[in-house]
Amino acid sequence: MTSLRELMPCFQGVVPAAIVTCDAQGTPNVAYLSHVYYLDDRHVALSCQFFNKTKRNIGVNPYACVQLKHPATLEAWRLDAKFIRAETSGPLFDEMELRIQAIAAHTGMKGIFRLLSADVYEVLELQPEPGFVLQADADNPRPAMDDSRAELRSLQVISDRIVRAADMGELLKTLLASLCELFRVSHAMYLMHDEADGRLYAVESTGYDSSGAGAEVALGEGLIGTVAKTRRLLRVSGMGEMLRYGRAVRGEMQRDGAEVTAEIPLPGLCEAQSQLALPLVVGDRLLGVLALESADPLAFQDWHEAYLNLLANQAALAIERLGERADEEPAPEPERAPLASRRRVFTWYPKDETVFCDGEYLVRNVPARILWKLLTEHEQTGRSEFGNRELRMDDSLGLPPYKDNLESRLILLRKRLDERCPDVRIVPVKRGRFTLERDCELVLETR
Amino acid sequence: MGGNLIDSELREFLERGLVCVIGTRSADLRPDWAHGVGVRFTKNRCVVFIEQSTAARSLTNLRDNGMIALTICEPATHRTIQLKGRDTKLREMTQAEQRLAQRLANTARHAVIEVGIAPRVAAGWNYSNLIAAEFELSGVFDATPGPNAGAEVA
Repeated sequence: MTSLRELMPCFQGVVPAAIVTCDAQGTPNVAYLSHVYYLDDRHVALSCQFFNKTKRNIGVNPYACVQLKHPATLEAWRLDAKFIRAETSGPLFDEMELRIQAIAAHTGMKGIFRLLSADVYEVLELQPEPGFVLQADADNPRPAMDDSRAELRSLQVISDRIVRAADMGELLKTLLASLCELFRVSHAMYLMHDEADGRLYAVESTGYDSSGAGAEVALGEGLIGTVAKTRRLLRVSGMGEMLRYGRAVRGEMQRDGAEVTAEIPLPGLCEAQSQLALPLVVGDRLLGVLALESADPLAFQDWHEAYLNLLANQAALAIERLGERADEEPAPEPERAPLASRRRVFTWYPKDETVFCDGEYLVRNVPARILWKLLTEHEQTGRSEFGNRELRMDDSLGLPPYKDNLESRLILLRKRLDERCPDVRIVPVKRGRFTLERDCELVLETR
Repeated sequence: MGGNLIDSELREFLERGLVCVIGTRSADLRPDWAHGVGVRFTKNRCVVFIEQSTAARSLTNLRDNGMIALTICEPATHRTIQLKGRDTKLREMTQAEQRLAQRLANTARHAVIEVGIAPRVAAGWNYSNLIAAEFELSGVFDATPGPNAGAEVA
């Protein structure tokens, strides 16, 4: 007999499952399920968001028949099941609620679309239905159910690279590049958590057309914001299906008079079908979120969660460590390079704490204050080398007194300049020191 | 109650040929599903076509008690309508129904291709051994996920 464990891809929510129940009068009822959750080889849990006919039926007749389909082949299984209990709190409920929260947060239904219960069923019989599809797709075999052991070596390699990274920039670059190289991830980004304003800022990315540095996500907003808020890993396979489902509920809620808000655009790949977001946490501090994406709806399997969670924990410790290391002493000022004839106009808007370059938005908040300090000091004194320590001592920059994420903020600033104004560069010279380089004339103005 | 109580927009949706799941139950109230294609309304009755290769239990149930439920779902929007019926009679399909069912099945295949199912996978969806199930319509319900799911629409 097939075991439930062999059907893992069917539990990813890529193809909706259906459930048939029956009331005391013998009237059957068919409903689609947003999520069938694998509990163990004899039990599944079904998410219940509304007190509907299925819920009422299992209250009087606990038997149900569930249709599960393989997302790649559409092969079907018949699960004869019996309702055991409804959980409204605890680890299972929390786990299933996270996915619902992510749908709600992304589709503008935060707080109004939520999990009522995780309904646990005993699976009495599990039967494949080979006649559901005429033939298996030989050119497109079912994804391997468990190929995790081969990845252990990759985990070790990334772990070694992470602990050897000399600074934050190298660490983040190495982490993302290694994920792509060794775990066959195509798109990855790291978002720093700014404890001062409670938002996440994209700092480093790989695989995208543009770096996306500076892209912002509020805590609790969309998938990444939900992961940051709950500090729990979230894997979504079949993003398209999840969003179609969310939009259907949203439309019905609007029709019902609920106040929904605008849909939150996903940062990153617009055609992403899978996303795995991992919180980087040390103690009670959220350092950031590592977000992986793929256009393949089945890119991330169960083993990814376990392996990448280990990796995220290690990366978090390394980020913490690099944020604490002492800076090196300043070197003598190098000779200034001759200026090119180009002009770049930097404008500081104190009210919005924003810097624009040649009339276009460049950066805001702490990175903007840092840039403005560097530019004005450079203009006034000609100085071009700066140290992290003096930035930390400068109260006007508004850095938190402890755990200030300065390295990540400087990476973000460096990337924004790379993209928007390559004539002005922040170049690390040694641990905790960097130079401001320019190939243009600077014009600074405040508005 | 038959198709005459369903407005033209709803009827067009239900008869378009979307994804259809059928629910039945045994004499001891054990539920079961079957794979269907449909539907078509006549004045007093409704007909859905059931794929027999995966429906042994449901066909037995229908012969036993005639109680049926089925959902018609548009995958791209999740708009779903559930029909409930009784007095189901199973019968061989006419030649016209055979042609109609294959046309509806192709529409259903396109509906799942639209949401990302590979065309060659959708092409393998089995509708090769259908039987007609004709029933008296007893209720039409909105089954689109959301707070209104379960509301009677006709």
